[in-house]
Amino acid sequence: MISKRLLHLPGARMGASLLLALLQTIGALAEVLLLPVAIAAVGRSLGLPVPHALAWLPGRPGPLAALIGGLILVRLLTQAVAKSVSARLADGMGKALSQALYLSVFDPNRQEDDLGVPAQTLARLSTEGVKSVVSYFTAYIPALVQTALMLVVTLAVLLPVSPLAAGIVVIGMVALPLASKPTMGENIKIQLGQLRKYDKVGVHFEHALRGLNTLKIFGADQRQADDLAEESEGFRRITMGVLGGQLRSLIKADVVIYTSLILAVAATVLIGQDGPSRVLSCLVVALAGVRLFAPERQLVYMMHSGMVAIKQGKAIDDILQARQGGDEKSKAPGTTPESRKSTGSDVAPEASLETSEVAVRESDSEFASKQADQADMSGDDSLGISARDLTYTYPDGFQALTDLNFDLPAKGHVGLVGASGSGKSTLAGLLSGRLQGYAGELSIGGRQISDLSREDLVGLQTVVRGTDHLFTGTIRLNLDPAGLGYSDWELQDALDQVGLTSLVQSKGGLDAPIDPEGGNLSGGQRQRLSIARGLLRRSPFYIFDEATSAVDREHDATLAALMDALGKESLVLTITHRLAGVRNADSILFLQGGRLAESGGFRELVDAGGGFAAQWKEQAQYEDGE
Amino acid sequence: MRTGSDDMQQTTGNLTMMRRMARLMKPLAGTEGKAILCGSLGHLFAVWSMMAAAAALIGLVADWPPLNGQWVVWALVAVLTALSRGVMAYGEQYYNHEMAFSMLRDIRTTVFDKMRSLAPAGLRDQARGDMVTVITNDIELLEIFYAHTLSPIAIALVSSLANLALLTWLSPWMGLVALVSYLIVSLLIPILSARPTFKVAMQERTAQANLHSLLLETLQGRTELAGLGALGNTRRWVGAATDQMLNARGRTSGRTITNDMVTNVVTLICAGVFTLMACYLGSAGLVDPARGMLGLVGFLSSFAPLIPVARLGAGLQPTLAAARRVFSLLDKEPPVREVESDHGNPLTEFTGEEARAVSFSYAGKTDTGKGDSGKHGGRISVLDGLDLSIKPGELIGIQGANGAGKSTLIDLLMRFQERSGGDLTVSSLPIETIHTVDLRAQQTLVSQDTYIFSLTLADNIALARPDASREDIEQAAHDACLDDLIDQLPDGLDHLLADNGSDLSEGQRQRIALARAFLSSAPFMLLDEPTSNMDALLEGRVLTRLIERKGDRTCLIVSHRPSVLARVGRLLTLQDGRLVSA
Repeated sequence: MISKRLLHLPGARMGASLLLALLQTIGALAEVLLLPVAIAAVGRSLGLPVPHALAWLPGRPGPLAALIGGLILVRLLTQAVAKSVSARLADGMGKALSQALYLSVFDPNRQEDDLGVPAQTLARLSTEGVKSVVSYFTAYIPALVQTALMLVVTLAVLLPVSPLAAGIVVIGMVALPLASKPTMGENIKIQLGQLRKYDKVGVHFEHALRGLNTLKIFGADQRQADDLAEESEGFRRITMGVLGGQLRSLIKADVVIYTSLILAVAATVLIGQDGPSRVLSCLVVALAGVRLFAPERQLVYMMHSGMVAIKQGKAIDDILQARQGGDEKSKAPGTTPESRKSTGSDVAPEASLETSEVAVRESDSEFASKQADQADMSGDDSLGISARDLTYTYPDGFQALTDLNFDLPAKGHVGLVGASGSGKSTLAGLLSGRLQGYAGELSIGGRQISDLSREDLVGLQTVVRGTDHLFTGTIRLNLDPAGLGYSDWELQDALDQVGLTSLVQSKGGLDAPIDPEGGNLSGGQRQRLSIARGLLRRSPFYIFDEATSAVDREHDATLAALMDALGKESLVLTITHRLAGVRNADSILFLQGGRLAESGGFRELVDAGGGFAAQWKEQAQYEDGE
Repeated sequence: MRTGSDDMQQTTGNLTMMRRMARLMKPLAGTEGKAILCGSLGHLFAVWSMMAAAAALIGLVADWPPLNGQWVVWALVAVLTALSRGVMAYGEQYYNHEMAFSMLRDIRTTVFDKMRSLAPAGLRDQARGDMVTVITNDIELLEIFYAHTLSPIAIALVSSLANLALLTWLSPWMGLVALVSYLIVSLLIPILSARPTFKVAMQERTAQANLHSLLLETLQGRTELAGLGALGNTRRWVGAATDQMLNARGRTSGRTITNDMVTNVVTLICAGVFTLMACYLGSAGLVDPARGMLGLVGFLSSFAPLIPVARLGAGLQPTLAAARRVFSLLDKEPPVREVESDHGNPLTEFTGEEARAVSFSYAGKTDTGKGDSGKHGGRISVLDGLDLSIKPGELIGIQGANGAGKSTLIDLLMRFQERSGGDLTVSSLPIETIHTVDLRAQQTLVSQDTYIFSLTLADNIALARPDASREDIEQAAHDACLDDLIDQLPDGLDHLLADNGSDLSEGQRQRIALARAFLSSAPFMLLDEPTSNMDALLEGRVLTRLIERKGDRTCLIVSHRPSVLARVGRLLTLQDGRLVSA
């Protein structure tokens, strides 16, 4: 079973796999040849008649030992060469696949956000999946090809000794796959079922693990454990089913192997013409025969891992194809389609490695170019935001924004408020370039946002969301994930502005560890750290999207003051559903049902007595109750 | 010096671990015995068929008394043993895997049970990707130990002893060479290859787990990283982890291939030496033709059972590395001991929860050697001398600065963690004596890390009470202000939600968590920032509904929102490790 789709994967080199097969075959030839040599030599010394074909063997111990040593040396050399070929193939494939699968995802020029598959699946395919696919090329294909080449070896070894036996063994080798063919389809079906079940059980375990805290609260974890135990048992049963099928193929293989050998020996004894020397001929046939069949028998064991590899390889290919399709659709200029296609089997890995180097170099200049951009734009006094008849409709037909018109100055603190579903997040998404394809105009510093590249936008603005991820590592790493190398003083200053100085000190400084997902910080601390991370970027435009939802009251005031101060140097857009948070904002945009219902200063809006005033009144009624 | 003692430790560690792994399989010893029997016979049949064939052939043409005229018998033996070899091989593999897969099923269950007992407090410092790796990959690797280690060793031992006996009977010299060969292949090679291989195998496992966790994190946080202009750096970062893994993987497979190569070549050298010796024995007349030929044929085909043993040195290492990770999880001390229903106190009603002088501290991380003059004595105190009296039917609000210990307080009240000192009672019973099942039935929590399963909305809510009627679920959803979500979802309550509710907003997820709490019939509800992601109007509506619908239930709300705290019956502030009236 060779899957064509796998052959086109990045880094796959069929040539190397074939070379491995050839090397293994030569090694096997040397190993098998040892048997007739040993049997004839010992037979002669015991006084048994030696067949013509082996009569040339040296009788004296010296040359005999040299011959045996030579054969062993051939075996050693082929294996040593095979080792380095296989290592190079594995390394090249590993690099090419990781580049195509996930390193390319971190390309700053990539436009779309969609990974195509859940992060969990991608992570699994990138580790186990790649390993399995690589072994398909370094072990499975070579074994498969070697099995075919063994026919030649068989003829080379057995033909001189007993042509009849050689014929019978070759027939046996060809017949072996046929013997297991009738049950093959059935086996594959069970195997596929098993692999599906494997995925299902894996996903189930993962979900149970992630939801374990929730389950425990309701005492539902025991039930879940029982379900999982039952599923594990089901998985065990179907795995045994797969194994049973495989083992039945093994029995069939053994029956075919030994029947052919018995027939070959019988034929040599009964029809052979060598007279008494038939004894040694027969022994050569029997002993060498078992070895000649060995690779084919081994293949039965490799069937399952081969199937797994094909499945993983196809999943990887699906992702790459989907991305290629997506790239072509969005006509992203940054990604070179050649690296994906990899049609020429030998050129592909070099090509994709080259692209990866180019990409890395590009990313090195990422920072520099951004700085340049930033300087450009911040020097430009017209860096305000303006919207004209801005309308946005989601792909599913939901019109989230309708005919928005507003102008924001280059500096100042602007509040964006409204109830859930009023379009706040959609507007933020459009401003940050996360959502694309708006109608009307939306410009920043006079340039349409749709004309700016993702990288340009990133250089201009910083978006801080209340739900932003923190990363496992240190505080320093979380403040400076881009590796820009801020000084300790700068980092301390940012922490100080969000009131985290004493916490960081108590944890042991800037290099104190942060647990997975910020587990060792409270919700408010996580949010304040995210804000500090944003502050360090000193961008001309900030969007704070519910960035302080979990911050406690003591720090609420600190942060509100921070926003106002930040508004003196940059344009700060604060999105919140708590109207008190924008009390001191220079101006407020109030959205209702996707339309800009009201805008103006806080007092102005409250005095106007419109929707904003009504909401303010209702909130104040709750908040002032204390 | 240091590496030497490290190696020693590693070796003893491995032996202990293997003993521990072996102990787990006691209940399945019978299956293992069958596997060993079938395997030994299978390999012996393969050898015997060749020897019998040789005997038959020699008996047919040569004139050697013991075999003379008996060639038909030997030919029959050869044919029968040859044909039954496959059946025996089948039995060996079948029983081996029967044993191994039953073990894996049981270990999976054990590991999940362990994770249950650790959650939530004991798992916070574990990377999620890492735990997933343990429960899937690592456990799977144990299969190599259970299916491909013990029985192959036993099979190699049994069949080699039988072969040795036969060869020694044929010629003591042959027996001697065979003994030395067998020892080299099945003892010397695995022992020599074990140490260097272990390190690289362990490195590969660790590197792969690291990359897996890193990928999960950076892929999920990609939007943030992109927004911070950090993609280029992240790629370097992930690229370095990839290189590390590929290198480790390359080294491991290099070791494995080298090990195979050495095994193969050594086997061939043994065959060569045996051949030369047999030639000498023959020409010196020390052995007769039949014995000499039988011995040669037997020896040449007798290595098959030894090869898997020689490979163990390399093959077993990844398994041991995986086992180490599995066992280190199993050895973690759970933060609380669950109280089973065969001892301790049952709890049938909630008549209040009381804390007297409760304190909580945890061991601080002592990895920074400089500057810190251990004035906390290595422990960090979170709560100290905390008093709290919760009466049935009360609505209590708790506020406090970030990091003041609000979440820890909830953990203690729910008994997810054990307090370090003081008294804590539920319905006047010490909390640590109450049956865990009963405690869960009396208390429920709306936590901040609510997980949404990929089930229907109704099933997600029903998690709190599986026997709830449709009406109960609808009512709970209504009480949690989920009506608009139900209207919005194509199949309403029966809509299948995405994994962890990724298609829902945070506020919607919080309301689902509330609906679960409403549905559970627990009389004491703890709510940890239940409305933090809702807008003010929705928050107001949800709170109003909560107060209306709570009936005689007791509620404790942790929040920092004035709008929430304004509506509680009694407001407390958590400050300096204790609660004070606000």
